[in-house]
Amino acid sequence: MKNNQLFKVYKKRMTLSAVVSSICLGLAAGGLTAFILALVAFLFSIDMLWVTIGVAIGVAVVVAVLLYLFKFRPTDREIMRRIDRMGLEERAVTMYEYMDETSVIAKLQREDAVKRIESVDNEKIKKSFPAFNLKKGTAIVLSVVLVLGLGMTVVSGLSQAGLLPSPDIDGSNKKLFVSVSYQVEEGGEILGETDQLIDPGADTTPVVAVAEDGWVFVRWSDGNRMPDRSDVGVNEDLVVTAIFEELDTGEDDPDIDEGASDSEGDYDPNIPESNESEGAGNQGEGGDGGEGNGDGSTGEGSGSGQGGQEGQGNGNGQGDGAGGSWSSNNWVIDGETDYRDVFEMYYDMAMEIINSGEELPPELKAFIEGYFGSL
Amino acid sequence: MVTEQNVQQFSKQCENIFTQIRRDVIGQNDVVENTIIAMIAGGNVLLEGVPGVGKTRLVRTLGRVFDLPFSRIQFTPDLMPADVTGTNIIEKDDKGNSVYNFQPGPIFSNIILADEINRATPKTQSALLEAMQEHTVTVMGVSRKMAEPFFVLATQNPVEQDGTYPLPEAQMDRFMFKLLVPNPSLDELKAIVTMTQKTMAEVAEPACNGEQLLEMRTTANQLFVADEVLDYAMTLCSATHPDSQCASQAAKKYVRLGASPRAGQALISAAKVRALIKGRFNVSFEDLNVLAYPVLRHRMKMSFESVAERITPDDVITMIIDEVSKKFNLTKSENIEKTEEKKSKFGKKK
Repeated sequence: MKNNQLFKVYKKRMTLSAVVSSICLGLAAGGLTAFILALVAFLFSIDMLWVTIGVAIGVAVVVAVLLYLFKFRPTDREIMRRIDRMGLEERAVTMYEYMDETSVIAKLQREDAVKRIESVDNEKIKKSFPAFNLKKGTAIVLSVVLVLGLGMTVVSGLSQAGLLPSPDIDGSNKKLFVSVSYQVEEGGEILGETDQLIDPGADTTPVVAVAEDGWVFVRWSDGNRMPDRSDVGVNEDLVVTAIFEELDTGEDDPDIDEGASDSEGDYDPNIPESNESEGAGNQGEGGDGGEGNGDGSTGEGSGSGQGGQEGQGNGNGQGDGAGGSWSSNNWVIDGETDYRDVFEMYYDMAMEIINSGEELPPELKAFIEGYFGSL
Repeated sequence: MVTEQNVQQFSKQCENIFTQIRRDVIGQNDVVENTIIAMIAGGNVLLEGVPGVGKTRLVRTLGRVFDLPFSRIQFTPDLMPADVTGTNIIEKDDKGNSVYNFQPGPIFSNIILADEINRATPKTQSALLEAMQEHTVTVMGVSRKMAEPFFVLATQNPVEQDGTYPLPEAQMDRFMFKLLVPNPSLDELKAIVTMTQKTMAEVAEPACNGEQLLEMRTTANQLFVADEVLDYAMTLCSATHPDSQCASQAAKKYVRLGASPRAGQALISAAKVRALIKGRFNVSFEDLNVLAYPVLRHRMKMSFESVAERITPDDVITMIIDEVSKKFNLTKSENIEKTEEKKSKFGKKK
C-alpha cells in the first residue's frame, strides 16, 4: 500500500485492536476449556490439575493466534473501510481500489481522499479505532467464561488437595472388592470358601460351620444362629467367626436323654438315598430308630427314630434297617437346625460332582465322611 | 478526455445552474437538485404532484437556464401520436410535383415538457417511448435522430384519476427518476406569493448550454465506484425483486414486480453526478441511499398487501435500504438522515 506513512497510525491501531480481541477470545476459550476439564476432574475425582492448566493455556494461545491470523488481522481494504467510517464517504476505499489509475479524475480523487484523511484529528482516530473493539455483551460473556474457568480450576485443585469434598459421581472411590472372611476359633471348622473376595454388593458363596465331636455350633459372631450362611449384597469387608461350644457327656445332658420312640419312620423305597422322616417324639427320649428297611449295601436306608432335643430323631438305618445309634452332635447343629438338611445339600452336591466324573473336593469328602463317622 | 479544467468547470456550472433556478423556483430544493442530476446524467424525469406546485414552471426554467430549445406538449385524451412526433404532409415542390415533406412535431426539441402525460391514450404515450430511450423518432419507416441533449420532463397529477391512462411499466421504466413534488412549506409559500405579486416574469438566465451539459455528463461518467459500493447499488436493485436471491423481506411482502436493470444503470449514473455535485470524486453509500427513492419508486409494482396496508413504494425502499445496509455492515452514520426519517415515519404509521 502506497501512502504507508498516512495509514500507519490506522494500521497500528487496528492491529492493536485485533491483538486485543484475539487475546480476549483466546482467554475465553482457555477459560472454557479449563472450566470443562476442571469440572470433569472435580466430578470424577481425577487428579489432573496441572493437565487442566496446561491444556487451558495451550488452547488459549492456539485460539488467540488462529483468531488473529484468520479472523482479526486487518487487511488494507478493511483499514480503508474503517477510515471511511469516520465520515469519509468511501473516499479511502475508492482510492485504495484505484491506486494505480492515472486518469485526472483518479488523481483528483486520491488528492481529495488524502486531504480528508489528513484532516482527521487524533481524538477522532482514537475514538474510531479503539484498542478494545469488542461489544459490551461479548465482553461480559467472555469475562464470565474466564472467571468460571478460573473458579472451577481452583475448586478442582482444592478438591484434589483434599480441602474440598469430591462428589465422586462415578463411584471411583468405591472399593473394587469386598473381603469376606469366615473364621473359627475352636471346636469346629468351616466348610466352603472361608476367605472370599467378591464384587461390592454381590453375594458370598455358601459356607457351613461344622462342629467337631463333642462340640456344638452356637452362633456366628454377628449373631446369626444358622450354621450355613451366604451373605447377600455385601458392600463392606466382613469378618465373622463361628462360635462352638463344648458339650458335656451325653448321659449328663438332659437335652439328649435316651427315650423311646413311639413313632415309626417312613421309608419310601423310591427315595433310597435320603429319606427324611419326621415323627413326633417325646422330648428327651432318644431311642431306637424306627424300623427301616434300608438298602444294606449302601447303608442309605433311613430309619426314623425319635430323639433329640426337639423330638426329631434321626435314625440311620444301616443295612439291616436297625435303628441308628445317636451321637450327641449329629442331630442338631445349633440346637435348632436339623443336621440332615445341611448334609443333604452337600450330599447332593457331592453326588453331582461324582456323577460328572470330577474329583470330590477334600472338604466336602471330609464333611460327608465326618457325618457318617459321627453316626 | 476529461481534464482538470472540466472538473473545475463542473462545480462552477452546477453552482450557476442552482443560482439561476432559485431565482424563479422557490423551495423544492430536492426536486430541483434531482432534476438537474437526471439531466446531467441524461435521464428523463417524471414529476408527480398536485396542480400548482410549480412543476411546469420548473421545467420552463430549466429550459431557459440550460439555454436549450423547449417544447411543451399538453397531453389530452384526443392527442394523437402524430401530434407528438410530427407527420409527413404533401407539399408541392418547385416543379409543381406533390412530395411528402416531414413536418417535425414538438418532440423535436431538446427539452420536452410532457404536461399531464397520463391524460393521453396509451397509443400517444407510447409515441414517446422510442424518443425517450433511443433518442430517435421513426415516422413512416424513416428514423430521425433527436438533437442532443434530449430530455423528457413529464408531469402527472396523482389525484385526478378520472379520464387518465396510467403509464404502462415499459414507459415508466424509461424515466430515470420519478420525483414527488410536495406542497411548499409555509415559508416557501410566503416567498412564492410575495415574489409573484411583484412580477410573474421568469427572470432566470442561461447558466450553461447544451454542449457544456454534455461535457458535464462525460466528466461525471469518469467517476469511480468502489466494488463494494457497486455491490451495494446492485443489491439494492435486486432486493426489490420478491423472487431474487437477495430479495428483501419488504419486497417479498409488498412488491409484485421489482426494478429492471435500467434501475441499476440509472442509480450508478445519477450517483456519479450527485457525488461530483457534492464535491466528491467517488460514489458513496449515501449517494445511493438518497437516489434509491427517485430511481426505484416507480419501477416497483406493488402487491395487494401494500395497498391494503397503505405501504407506499417509498416505505418499501426505506425498509430495503435498512435491510441491505445491515447486510453490508454499514453503521448508522453511513445511512442518511432521510432514511432514518422515513423509517421513523413508517414506524409511526404502523
